[in-house]
Amino acid sequence: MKIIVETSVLIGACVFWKRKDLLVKHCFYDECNELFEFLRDNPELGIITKTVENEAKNVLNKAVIDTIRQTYFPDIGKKLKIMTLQHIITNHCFDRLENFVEECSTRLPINTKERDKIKTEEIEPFLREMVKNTVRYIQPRIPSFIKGTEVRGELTDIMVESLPAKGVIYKGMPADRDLAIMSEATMIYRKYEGKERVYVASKDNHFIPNRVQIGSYLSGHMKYLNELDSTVRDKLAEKFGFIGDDPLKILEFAVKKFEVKKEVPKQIVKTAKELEGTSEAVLLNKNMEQIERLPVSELMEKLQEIKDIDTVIFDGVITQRLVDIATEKNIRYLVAARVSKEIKQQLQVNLLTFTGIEG
Amino acid sequence: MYSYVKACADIRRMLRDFLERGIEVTELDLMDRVIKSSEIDQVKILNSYLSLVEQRALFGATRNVHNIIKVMKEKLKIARETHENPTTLELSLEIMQPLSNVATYIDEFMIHRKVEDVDKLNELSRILYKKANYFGFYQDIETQLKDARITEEEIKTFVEKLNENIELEMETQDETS
Repeated sequence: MKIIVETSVLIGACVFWKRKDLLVKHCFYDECNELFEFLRDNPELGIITKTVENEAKNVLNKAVIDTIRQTYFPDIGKKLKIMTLQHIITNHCFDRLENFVEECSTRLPINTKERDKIKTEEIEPFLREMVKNTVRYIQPRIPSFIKGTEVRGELTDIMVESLPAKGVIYKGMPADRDLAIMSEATMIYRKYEGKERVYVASKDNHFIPNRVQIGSYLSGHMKYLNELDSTVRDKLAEKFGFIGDDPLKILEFAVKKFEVKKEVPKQIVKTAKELEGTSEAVLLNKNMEQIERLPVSELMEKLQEIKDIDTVIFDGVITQRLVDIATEKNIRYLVAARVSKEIKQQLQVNLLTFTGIEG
Repeated sequence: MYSYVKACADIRRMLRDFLERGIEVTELDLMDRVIKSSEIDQVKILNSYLSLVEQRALFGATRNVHNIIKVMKEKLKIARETHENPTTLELSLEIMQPLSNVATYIDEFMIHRKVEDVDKLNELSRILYKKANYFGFYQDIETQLKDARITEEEIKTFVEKLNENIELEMETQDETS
């Protein structure tokens, strides 16, 4: 598995400012940063090409220039302040960006001639053909005699829901820079001769499945459905090998793939499977016999009063407080759907997730 | 006409002398002229008829020179007191080359009122900043903000606007909002 980081994800993770009481970040920061946290531990999986790095810097520079223009003031004192501020922020963002490139990725050689050939002879014609058969949004025709925003909105929803197919949603032809990145992703995929799954982590609509949109941006009723259309992405993947997706989705695949499963008694695995989606907990003794089954909301209280528990399995999140009680009560295994990120290093209690165990 | 290239050469000569005979604090005043000039020139650049892109590049370069020489002077003073002369001097000398590279461009503006290659200047300026930062010859962010009297509100406004512009530039939108 290889993860090519696309410009939008690199930028999303590098615009972050935290000082004392102030926290300002890019709207995609959390998800992009989560992927980088993973890649920091597995840098051999991440790929950031020179094109992506340069493009990210260009975008950042252009955005900074636009921001200066919007905040510029004829007064020299204010001008000086804005210029100093942008200099500090630009340096800070570039430091983060270069740090991600250095710590979270490897770089493969890219033959630019070959890349440009793939771009103009393969990717561009393929997409140009595909774009002809796509729609930007769905706009059901409602007769004008039906009045009232609410009624028309309700009717739109019903009509869209009852459509047998929503059409292929696409935004149009990608910009040249996106085509170059797609070509590089194709080259990387071919380099591994299909032996590696090559993902492109992106927030750019041209790379990932698009949300189905009703109405144009100009319409007051424009909205997105909770429905994703992956037709274009899938066709690109089928033809060129690379799979574009949201950074969190890719992270999910990566974690599943690289999670080392811990072997535990069969009874724990069986109980964990039973508990999934129930919001319940089961307490087992040393002989792996069930002592009690209870709602997760009562777990904390129960643990404080009960003795001789060896294993706690529950459909919830392992928190630091729960770990503290488990340590106090000499509990060997805490098995849950998730483990909170805030947990301190644990030696006494085995903290495991449902997906991280096997019997 | 004040020349940054000449000033860099003078400072380099002084640092080499110090390597042989130790740091002489009174001679560090040689750096004051660069510190003062680079401060005034930042204003001159912003008042010039250069394009915003050129102003930004030149301003960043001049600000880097100002900050680095200022920190260098302080470090050399401390080095004299703590007997860390060779290390600080060697690091200072290593920074002087990228500093001279940037100085060439500032001189060009001061004499001809133009910037030949903005991209190259940005690249050299970034190399200088990175090196200085790595050696500890650049003020930390808190000090820079404090010196420029920049408030948290101003940072917030700027970064939020920056995020909006990035979204416009990238054509990505947070569809959940």
